[in-house]
Order: sequence, then structure tokens, then C-alpha cells
Amino acid sequence: MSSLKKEFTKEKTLLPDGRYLWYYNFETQSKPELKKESTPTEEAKNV
Amino acid sequence: MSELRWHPFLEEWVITATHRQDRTFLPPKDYCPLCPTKPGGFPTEILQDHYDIVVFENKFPSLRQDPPQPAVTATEIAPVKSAQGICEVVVYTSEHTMTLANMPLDRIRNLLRVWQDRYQELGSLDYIEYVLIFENKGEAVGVTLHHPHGQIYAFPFIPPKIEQELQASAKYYQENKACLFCATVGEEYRDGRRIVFESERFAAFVPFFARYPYEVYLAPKRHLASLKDFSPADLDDLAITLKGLLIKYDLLFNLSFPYIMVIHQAPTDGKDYPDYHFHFEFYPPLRTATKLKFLAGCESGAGNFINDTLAEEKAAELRNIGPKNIQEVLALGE
Repeated sequence: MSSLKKEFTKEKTLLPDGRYLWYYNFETQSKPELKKESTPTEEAKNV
Repeated sequence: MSELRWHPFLEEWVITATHRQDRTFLPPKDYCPLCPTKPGGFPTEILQDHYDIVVFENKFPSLRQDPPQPAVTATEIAPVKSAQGICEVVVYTSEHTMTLANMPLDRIRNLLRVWQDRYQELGSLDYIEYVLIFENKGEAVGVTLHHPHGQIYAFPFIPPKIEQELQASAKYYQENKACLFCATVGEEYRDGRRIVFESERFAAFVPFFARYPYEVYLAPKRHLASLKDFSPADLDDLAITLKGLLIKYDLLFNLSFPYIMVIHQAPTDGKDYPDYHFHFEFYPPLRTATKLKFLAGCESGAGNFINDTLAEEKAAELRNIGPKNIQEVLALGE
């Protein structure tokens, strides 16, 4: 798994009420698709 | 209003945070404050439409960078301090229905990397002595937002439970010139009956002294004091072990298993803690599929836990369900 990993980038922004927010993005990771809800057990039953 | 009030009998701080009574409570999915803001939709905390992981200051913090002065006057036996610190929310993914157990391994590993970064950044602040990373999962443990997320409390003091562990570790080290936790992991590994899952570098086990039926400790086999000390290979192996354990939890009663997950690691108060050992602790509230373990008279009143089960039997239940080794987790997780 390590060979696929690169360092992340982090971007700071301020929310309207002054709180900070950090976006962390990882270079080699594709943006997750909003996929259909699945239960953990459906996935794990394939073991 | 928030402040630290001293408990003179237990000699520990109690945090008051009255504004938290008004925090968002189980909103409908369309009004989840942790989802990305959709065009023309409900404005959430997160304005970008996609992200890998987001960290932000809690809107309803127990501890603040610039806290108000205490609203009450301290006395000799009732010291009061302003509640300085930082409370962060860590949003694991933009996907509302995901869980940590279901996340692909590379994204769990990314989360570990973010935790590592937050530990170092918050811990570098001169007024932060301890960084506590945790996740409350499920309504059974009081979750108010279902979107997958955890929290970080950066304390201006070392919390009492950690202090107790530090003292026990230091005492054992003085007497044996060895790490108490290394000795515990070694003993669990040699005994084997309470091991739930293991990888090359980590072991998850129901400890001999478990207080909750399905309590699990997850720890590195070699001596590491904090996330700061983890190598890339350690993070890889931890992601696999964590996912393996969480899948087992979900399979146990065929439901999305509720838990409190906390990471215990070395304080960030500038001192060295060579005898302290990084580990996760999981406190699941379920003792059966439908029954909760309550902290009742003996636990709350005396501080003594009563466990109605045996660690060896509960560990066997977890060990025998779901993935048995890292190959089976890898097959699920990529």
C-alpha cells in the first residue's frame, strides 16, 4: 500500500464565524464517488 | 459559558460547557452539517463540493483557544480556570453513509496520516499538554451526527486517566526497566486466548482486565509512544489491523457496531515519555445484540467495573468471525 501513497496537501480556510477549517487532500487518491449505501456486513460476508 | 472547575475529592478538572446543550441533534440527512454544501442547498460547515478529509474547529467546543473568563469566583477549595484548549471535528469522508469499517484501506490510512498531522500540530502549541483523538459511533454512545467523523480534544492539562496510565507505566519501568504495555502485549501474544486479530506490527486483543464485554486494545507490538513515531509501514499495518477489527465488530451482531474509540499516546507537554506506549482503546456499549452495558452503581459510584463476561470467551467470538488474517482484510479493503 505504501508505494501508492504520496504526501497530502492541506488548505486552510476560515468559516464565517472565524473558526478555521482544513481541507486535506491526498494526491494519489481519486475523489470518492458517492456510491450507494452498503452495509458493513454485506461487504464482510464475502470473506 | 465554559470553564474548568476543580473536583477536590478526585483531584481532577471538570469542564463545564453550557452552550453544548444547544448543539445540532440528529438532523435529517438533507440537513447534515458535515456533508458538502450542495448548490442552492442547506449551507453546511463544508463549502467545497468534494474533499478527502476535513478538520475544523468544533462549533460547540468544550475548550477554546480564547476562552471567556470564568463566570464564578474561585475559592481555596473550589479553584476555577478558563477552559483553554482546542476542540476539532475530523470528517472522515464526504460520503454520509460511510463508516470507518467500510472505508477502503487507503482512505483509512489517509485518516491515520491526518491524525498524525493533527497530533503534531496541536501538540506543538505551548499551552497544549495532551491531544486526545477519539470517535463516538452510534446513538448508543450519544452520537448526535451520523456522518462519519471523529473528534480531537487538545487539553491544557493531562487528563486523569492518562495520568494514571503514565504513573503506572513509570512505576513499572522503574522496577523492571521495561515498558508495562510491551510486557502486556507480549503476555497477550504468548497466551493467545485473548488475541482478536493481528498483523505483522500490531495486535488487537480483549485485555485480561477487560471492563466491557467487547472491550479491545489495539497496540503496536514494538515500542512506539505516539503517532509521531510511526513509519509509513506502521501506518499501512495499522490501517489493516483497524479495518480487520472493525469488520469483526460489525459482523458480531450483524449491525453497524457502536463504540467509543480513543487513542492513548504520549503527552505533548515537552517532557519525554520513553516508558509510555501508544494504543487504541475501544469501549463498545453492547453486551448482547440488544442489551447495553450501563455504568451503574458500582461503576459510577465506586469506580469499580463489573464485567459479566470473560475476556477469553468474548475474544474467541471476535476472533472466529470475519477476516482471520491480513490477506482477507486486503481482499476486502482495496
